[in-house]
Amino acid sequence: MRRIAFLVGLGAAATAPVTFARLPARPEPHGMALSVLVNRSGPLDVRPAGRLAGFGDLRPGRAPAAGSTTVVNETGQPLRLRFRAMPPADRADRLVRVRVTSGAHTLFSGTLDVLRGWQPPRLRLAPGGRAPLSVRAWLPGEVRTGYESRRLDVALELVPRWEPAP
Amino acid sequence: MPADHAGMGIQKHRRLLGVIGGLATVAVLAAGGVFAAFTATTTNPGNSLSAGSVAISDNDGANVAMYTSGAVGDLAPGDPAVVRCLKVTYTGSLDAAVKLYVSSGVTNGGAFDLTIERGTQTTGAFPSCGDFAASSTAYSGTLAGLGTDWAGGVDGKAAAAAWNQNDNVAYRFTLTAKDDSVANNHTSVQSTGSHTFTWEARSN
Repeated sequence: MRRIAFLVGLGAAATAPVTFARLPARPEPHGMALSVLVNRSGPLDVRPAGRLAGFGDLRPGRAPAAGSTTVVNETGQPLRLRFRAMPPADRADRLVRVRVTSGAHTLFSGTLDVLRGWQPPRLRLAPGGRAPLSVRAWLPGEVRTGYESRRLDVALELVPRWEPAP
Repeated sequence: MPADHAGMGIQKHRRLLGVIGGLATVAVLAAGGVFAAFTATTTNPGNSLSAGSVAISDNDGANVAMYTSGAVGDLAPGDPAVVRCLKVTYTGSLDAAVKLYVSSGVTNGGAFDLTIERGTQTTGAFPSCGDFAASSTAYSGTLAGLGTDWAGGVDGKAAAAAWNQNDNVAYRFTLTAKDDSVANNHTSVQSTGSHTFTWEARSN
């Protein structure tokens, strides 16, 4: 009887680690699929237009999604460029950092949820004038979760604010 | 130790071992109950719907006219043509057809010839034509002859080709005063009045 109990206990002790060891490991989740689009409008041409930047597997601390284009004032009036990331907002917006620049000038630097609102019109374009526009988007290294397997298509909306002609 | 006491000790020992063995068996069976069942799931996440958009705009700034009689002055036959360009851009997400027409009620429209060409333009701001390169003619006739609604309008693209997002077409308008040999037909200024050109997009 004692021997049987001992053997049963020994068997349980021996099989338990094996049982746990054979449990499948959790697969690594996908990163964030992020794309930034800029479309042209009547007053503002964008060359090239459409998908400006994209990253299929964006992860914290890794390389940003980045792209550049040129914005052209097609009208006969001077204007200032207003822009925002088109709604709808996503719950992962606060995780994504975005920087919008024109040459050496930073037009926006912050999180995507802030960019969902209209940004101050800092860039001025003369009639027929053009300016470079660059966008970088990334997940900071301190982000732990909330980005996994999410897909964000960010459309940057460009709208003119007319300036009085000189 | 008395023999009956020794026997009771062995019995207690055996009972304890039996309890331990039983607990071990239950633990093994319980572990088997937790981990023995294979499971599988499949999901269909992230469903959503959105209605497409139809949107079109031009480069006239804050609705600045291409031409006005005040800026151009009164035209006479043989005067240099009034030449203006305007670029139209389609920004909707749905493919669309676009037609161009003029507002109704243009007065004295028969006194002016109008040619509207389609093309491309990469330089020059509204309403100048920059490097406009014509690819087709959308309309040639009098201002009065241009359609005034969708049905009578001219195609935005040649052969009524569809417009996709980010497509743009530049239009060159060329206007001249028609010659008129009828005596005393121009003893006073003939104005067209204010008129509006419309590009209307409809999803295909």
